[in-house]
Amino acid sequence: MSFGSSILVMLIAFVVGVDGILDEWQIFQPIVACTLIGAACGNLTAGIIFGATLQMITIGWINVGAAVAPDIGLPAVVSALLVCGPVALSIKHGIALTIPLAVVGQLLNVFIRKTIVKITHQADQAAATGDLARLTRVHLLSMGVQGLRVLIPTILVMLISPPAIKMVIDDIPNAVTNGIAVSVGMIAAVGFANLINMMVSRSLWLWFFLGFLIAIFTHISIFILAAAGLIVAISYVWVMNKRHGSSADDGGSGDDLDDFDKELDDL
Amino acid sequence: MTCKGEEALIKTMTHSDSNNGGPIRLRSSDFLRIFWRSSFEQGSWNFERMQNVGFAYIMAPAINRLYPDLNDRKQAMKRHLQFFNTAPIMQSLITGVVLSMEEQKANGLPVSDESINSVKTAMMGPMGGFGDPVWLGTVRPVLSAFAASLVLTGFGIWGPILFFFAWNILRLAFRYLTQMAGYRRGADIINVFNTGIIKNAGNATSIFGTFMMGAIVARWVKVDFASVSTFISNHTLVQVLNSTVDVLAPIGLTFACIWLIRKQVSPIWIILGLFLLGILGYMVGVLV
Repeated sequence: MSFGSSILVMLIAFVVGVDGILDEWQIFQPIVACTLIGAACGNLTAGIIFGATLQMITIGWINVGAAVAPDIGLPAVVSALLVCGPVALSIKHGIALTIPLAVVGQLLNVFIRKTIVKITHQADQAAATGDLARLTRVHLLSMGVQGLRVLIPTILVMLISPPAIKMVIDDIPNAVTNGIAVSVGMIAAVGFANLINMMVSRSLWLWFFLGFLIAIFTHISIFILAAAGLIVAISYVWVMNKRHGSSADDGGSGDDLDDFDKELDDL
Repeated sequence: MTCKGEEALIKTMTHSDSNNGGPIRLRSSDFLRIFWRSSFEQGSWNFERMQNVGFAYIMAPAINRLYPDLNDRKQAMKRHLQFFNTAPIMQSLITGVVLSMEEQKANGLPVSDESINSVKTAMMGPMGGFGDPVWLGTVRPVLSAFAASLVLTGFGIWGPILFFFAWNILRLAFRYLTQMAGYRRGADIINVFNTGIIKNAGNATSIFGTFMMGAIVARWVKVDFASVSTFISNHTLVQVLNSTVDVLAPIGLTFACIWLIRKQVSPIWIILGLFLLGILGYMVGVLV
């Protein structure tokens, strides 16, 4: 790998590590992170396809409240590097590698979230002296540590010679590799199950089956389904509100909602 | 409440005019700085006080503007280093409300530390309960499933581009609008939520999200069984069985996973189990 590519990969790894904790820009989501790594390695197409495949598996891995889900950023970067870089692993090998990497990333993340308490205590000292610049530095430093969480493992993988990795992977029996390739479609179910478990309450199951049946028995594109779903969901809530409009607690809601809308329009 | 606040603010204005140079107000550059910093809220997420440093970091430009006096500044920093945790994107609304309260406090209105903190704690729970399912549970999965479909149907690079820009435009617009709405309405905004706007938006999103989950499971979860024709020779029966399996397998597998998750089995173990199932199935010849 050229010097330029290596620098780019390291930069992406750092940014992905930072964004993984921020959960803001979504650069750490495989569909973006793997694409970037692919571009940096000069193998954009492989990066995009690997990213899209991995995305379907990790779709339901979300950090809610204080819970830490299996990591997404570290496996996205390292696996994409192995698939798109000089090692040139196949996509199925790349997918198989993401699972142990996700666990490693998760453990590192929990470890940092705990140990970083020591750094964040310096923010209290900054407050004691009224030093705002120091407060900012403490925050950015902690953020940088999260960047290292992905950067350092990435560098370690880059240091291993590609033929050595290739040799280990080639030793894996064919049945295992193909078996894993076969299970990719099944693994997507785990993420969805996690999401459904969090989101879907008893009264919502009907909507789940409606979506499932329409999608499985027709060939309507997912974009049209989404547009239709959005319209139906909003009209349903609207109609339900109209119907219960006379009840006491929902009485004045229309006016206040309009009020809030206006407020937003004014901005 | 806002009206009273404004009256009092005008009073302080005229009062401090006679002293030195008018009330202290946040400038648009402060709002922009705070808006920018909001996108880095969780950088110092820690298991002790979670987003506390993040919140103080976001407030720093406001503290700098509003509290030239060192003691006031120390107190303000301390105030915002208390425990804080909410859905990241919803924090902008809370920040907006807090900014309006801080501005009043800086201009001598009787706003106590406790009242600012109680507004923060009162808002962070409901905002988290609303924001995580909406943003992480619905918007992101639907957008990223879109993007992945685009890629796998041959649109290549447009998938990641659509995902990145659609998400960030929505997120940044929402953050900016709610920050400013929170600032204009002040603590009064809590009354708006009691009217059910959150409930309605939450209901509509969960209906939409659930519907889309069903559709995505149908299109994306696949069990690649070998055609039953390898085992049975009757042609019509084969077709019927194959299509039945195509319908039942994805939903059956998804429900099996939900059941396991409810039994507290870690998703990682389920994935490893499925790998094993895939390898065994492939070796036996049931899965292709």
